[in-house]
Amino acid sequence: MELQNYDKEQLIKEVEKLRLALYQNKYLLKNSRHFENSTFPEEGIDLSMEFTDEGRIIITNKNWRKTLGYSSQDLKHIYIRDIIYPDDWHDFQKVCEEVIKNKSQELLEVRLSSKNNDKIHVTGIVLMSLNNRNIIANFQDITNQIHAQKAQNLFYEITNLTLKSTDLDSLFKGIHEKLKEAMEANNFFIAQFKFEKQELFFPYIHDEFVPDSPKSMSFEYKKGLCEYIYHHKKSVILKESDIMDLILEGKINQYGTIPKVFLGVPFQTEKGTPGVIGVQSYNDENAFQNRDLKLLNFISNQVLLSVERKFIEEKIGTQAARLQSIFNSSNHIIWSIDKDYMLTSFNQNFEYEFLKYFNFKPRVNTDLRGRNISSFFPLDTFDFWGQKFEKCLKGETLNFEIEFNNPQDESNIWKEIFLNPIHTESGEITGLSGIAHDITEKKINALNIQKSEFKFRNIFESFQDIYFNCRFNGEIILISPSVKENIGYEQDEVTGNNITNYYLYTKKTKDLLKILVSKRKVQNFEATLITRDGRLVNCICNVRLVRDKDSREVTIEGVARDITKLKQANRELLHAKNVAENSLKVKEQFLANMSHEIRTPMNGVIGMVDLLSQTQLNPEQMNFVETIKKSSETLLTILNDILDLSKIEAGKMKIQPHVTEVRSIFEKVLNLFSQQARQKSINLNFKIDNKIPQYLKIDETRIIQIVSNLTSNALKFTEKNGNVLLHMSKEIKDNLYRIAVEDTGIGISENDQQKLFKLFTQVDNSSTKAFSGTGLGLAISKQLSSLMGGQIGVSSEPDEGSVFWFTLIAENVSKIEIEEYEEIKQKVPKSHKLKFESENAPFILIVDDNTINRQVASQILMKSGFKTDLAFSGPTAIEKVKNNEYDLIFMDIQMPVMDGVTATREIKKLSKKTPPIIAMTAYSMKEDRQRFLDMGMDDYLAKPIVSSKLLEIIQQNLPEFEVEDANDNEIRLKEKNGNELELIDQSTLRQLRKYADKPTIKSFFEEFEIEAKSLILESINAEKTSDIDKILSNLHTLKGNAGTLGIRSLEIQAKKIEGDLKKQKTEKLINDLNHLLDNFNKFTDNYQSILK
Amino acid sequence: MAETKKVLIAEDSSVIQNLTKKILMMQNYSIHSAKNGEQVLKALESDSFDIILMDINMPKMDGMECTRAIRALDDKEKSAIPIIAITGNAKNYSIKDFKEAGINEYLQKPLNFDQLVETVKKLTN
Repeated sequence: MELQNYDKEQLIKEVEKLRLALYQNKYLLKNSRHFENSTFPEEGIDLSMEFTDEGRIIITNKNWRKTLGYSSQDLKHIYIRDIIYPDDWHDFQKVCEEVIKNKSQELLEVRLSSKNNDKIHVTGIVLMSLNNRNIIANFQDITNQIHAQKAQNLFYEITNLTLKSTDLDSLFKGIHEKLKEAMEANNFFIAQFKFEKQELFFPYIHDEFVPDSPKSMSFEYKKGLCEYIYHHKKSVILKESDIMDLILEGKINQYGTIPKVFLGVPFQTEKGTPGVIGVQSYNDENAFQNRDLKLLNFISNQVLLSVERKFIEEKIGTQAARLQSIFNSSNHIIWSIDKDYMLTSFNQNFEYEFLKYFNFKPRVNTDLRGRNISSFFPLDTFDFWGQKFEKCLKGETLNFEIEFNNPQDESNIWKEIFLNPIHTESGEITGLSGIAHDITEKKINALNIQKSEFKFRNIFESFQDIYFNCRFNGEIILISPSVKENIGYEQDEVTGNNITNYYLYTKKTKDLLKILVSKRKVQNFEATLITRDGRLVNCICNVRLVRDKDSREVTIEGVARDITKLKQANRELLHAKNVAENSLKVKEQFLANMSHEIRTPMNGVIGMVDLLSQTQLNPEQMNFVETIKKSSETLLTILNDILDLSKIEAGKMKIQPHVTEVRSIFEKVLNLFSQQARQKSINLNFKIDNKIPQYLKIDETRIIQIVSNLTSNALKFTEKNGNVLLHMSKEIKDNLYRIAVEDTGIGISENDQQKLFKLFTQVDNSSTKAFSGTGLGLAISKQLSSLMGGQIGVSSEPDEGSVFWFTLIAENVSKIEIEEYEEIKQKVPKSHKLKFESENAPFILIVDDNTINRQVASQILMKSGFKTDLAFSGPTAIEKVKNNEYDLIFMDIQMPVMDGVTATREIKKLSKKTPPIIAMTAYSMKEDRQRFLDMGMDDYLAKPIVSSKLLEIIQQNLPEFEVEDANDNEIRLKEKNGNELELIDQSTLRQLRKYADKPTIKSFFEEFEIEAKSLILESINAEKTSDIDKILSNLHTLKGNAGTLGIRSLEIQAKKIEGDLKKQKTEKLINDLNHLLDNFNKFTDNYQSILK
Repeated sequence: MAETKKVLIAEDSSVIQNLTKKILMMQNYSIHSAKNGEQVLKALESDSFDIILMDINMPKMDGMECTRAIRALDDKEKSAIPIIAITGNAKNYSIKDFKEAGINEYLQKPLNFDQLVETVKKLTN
């Protein structure tokens, strides 16, 4: 036998075999004598028995019976086959046959089966009895020996498995296999309690009733057998009945199939993990005996230790793998060297970098000082690293940044390096570890930040306004250095202090925080800063709330700018403005004075010319007088223009809209210019569009002023036989009206149109000026139309004529307002001639320091039949009033010695009835009127004195004198002037023509003729019976009908008589009615021709 | 105009009567006349109108009385006919008086024809 061909185990087995054989031979030699004697050792320690070849047991010794558990009585009923373990029967039988046949004796090892079904391992001799054919067997019980050996083997095997198996699963499987060799262990499990998870964990379970076993699994920690065993800390064999009892007693619950027998062993590992290992059988109640329990007990700790060890091994394995993977997958470059600069380990990054820079793949034990490498390092680089390594190996921890070129693209690369010495447990330095990582990007960012920080710091430091940033409580966090320049404090002095220390605290600054919180920023906030030496600096600030990204703190930042100089400039400007305004007032005053000074002599001129023209003159004289009249009127116009303009510029011109009949404006303008138009044979007409209401709220005076201006221009620049049309229309915009003056004149070039509305500009500025004028008219018109909410303009082509237009805003008039207006109009009589006999003519006193003025007024009054008296001063006037009874006094205001107002007051103080006193003044501003009334005057008359105005005011103030018949007068006047009486109103006719043709219109008038005639005749008849009601009703109808058809004269006359009748004035009624009839007849004679 | 509107003119003066009649006929209205208030009420018994032009100053029931009578009619449609007063206002009625009587609009004498046509159109549409 070649020893080297056996392995260790086999050798052990061979040695065991040889030992056994030797033992058997010795045994046989020793006992043969004994058996030959055929004495049966009743008291011997062996298990002896004699049985027949038929198998009947005849004799047994005491130990036999004790070991197998049968009594002597029992032997009668059992056979040899009953006590041989069934598996071994066949072998035993063979041995017996051999013994009988050869009459030999045989050594054998067999398992007996006791009355309790215990297996008993025995070894011994079987031989033929010398006396008969019976067989004698003499065994020694080796059960314990076998078991011990099994246990030992198992222990050994498990240890072996632990070392050999690569993972837990194979370990468990191996253990299970080995266990099955030692005992009935078909169903085997290892269980661990995992209390923290309330779990029972089976790292290994193999069970007939668990599918897919073997496997590992977990159960909830409950009241099972394992839990029972753990709590009792005792190894037990439990038979089916025991388990049932436990269930019934409620000590455990039933889970799954109840085994016939269960064997469980509790254990506790070093680390304290408790558990149970166990086996169970579902078919053999006697599968386990005490020694199985012992066996399992014996190996349980070993199993557990193996399991634990394997667990730890696995864990260490994964951890190492993890560390290795970290080591390799890290972005960092990691390496270590020993004291001799030999590489001891490195990661993949290191390898990659090494390759990249040195084109050389590093290996462990590469000498970093070796020629291979140092030849790649520039000398100084190596020195650099050498020094660092040296330091580190002396125990210093190093951290530094290096910059080098990327060999691939020549770019700069920054790396941060950590060098740490590696210490053994004893503290000796064995090498060093190095870690490097790329910080290029970080470094570039940092450099950029540095640059921009530098840039902004520069801006910040050269900032001229004050920048500040403070906390909500006012603590200044940051302030620009400009604080020094602005208010004299150093930057450091201010930082950290409260910002409220540096400005005047006012209600406004107090509210600033509130506004900031709600609006987040405040602009152009004015604050007053206090300088270090106590001066105040006006500042304008922009302030806002900012939220710090990192700390989330809300702070206030802002910029303050010194505006002291600006303020100063502002004040100067304001001052300049005041000066300018003052000088404007002075100018105004001057103009007012001037106007007075000019008006006084003008008064004389105009008044006297007025009178002169009424005297007997030859045609040449008449011509001269007319020229003087025109010139003085022109002069007055210019004067008025200048006054108006200064009023407008001073903002004193007020537009005073009143209810006005639109038509009347045009009629008045036509009246003004008809003479002039006729002279040039120019057709002057007006047209009012249908959409224009009859009444509007407008300032008649100012509109007439503009229209007159435009009309006068139009007439001036229109050739003979041309046309001038005044045209009023409605603009699209509400309440906006347009009045245009269209002419067929010389027209204006576009260039000249630009100049038109400027002050003192005339298109023709040559010295040979063909056209006269102040050049103020259009400028005034422009201002006036703008005051009325409109515009002014012109469209024109040279030689094609021009259209001058302006617009104005006018309110509509309510019906009530129209009624009121009509009522007032009716009250104003159109004639001013008072009726009186010369002996009781009104006696009028004229007080004026100016001789010409006195002259003018007295001449006009005397011509009208009044008695006049003159006074040249206030005191004279008072004296005269004392001694005479005047009906009326005209009082100049501006007089030397005593002014008119004082004189009036004195007169009114006299103890006698004072007549009305009327102020006469050149203060021609409308507002003046009220002023004089307030000062005690009864009425007001503006100079220059014109007869009509003078007479009108007398008539108004002398109510006790009757007015001459208005219509009489009017008609007479018209007839005297040789004007054709307008029997039928042309505009009414125009309107009628829109709705009816000529024959129809004619029929209207024919109808009127018939009806009116009977109305008048009826009224004359009714007068005889004093049927006033009838007359009133007829006149009313006549008035309405005549008015509707535009027969004004009849309408007015009927209205007049009606008015008188209502006042019970009946004395002249019959005369009036007859007169009405006359007029009516005149109408019937003429209307047919007019209608043609 | 889809159909010819019917206008009743109450006016004792034949001048105004004919004038308004002609003018409104030219505007394509069908015209009926009455000389006083009584005639107006009589006409309303057998006929209906789209609008009434009413002179205030008429003999035998004046315009105010007549308007009040119309407004008091049982026939809802007829009592609601628009009424335009034509007036020289001899009796000094105020606008309030007119409105109280039930007059929708009023035209003052002397008549403005544009206003006449416009008002009639407004109230018949």
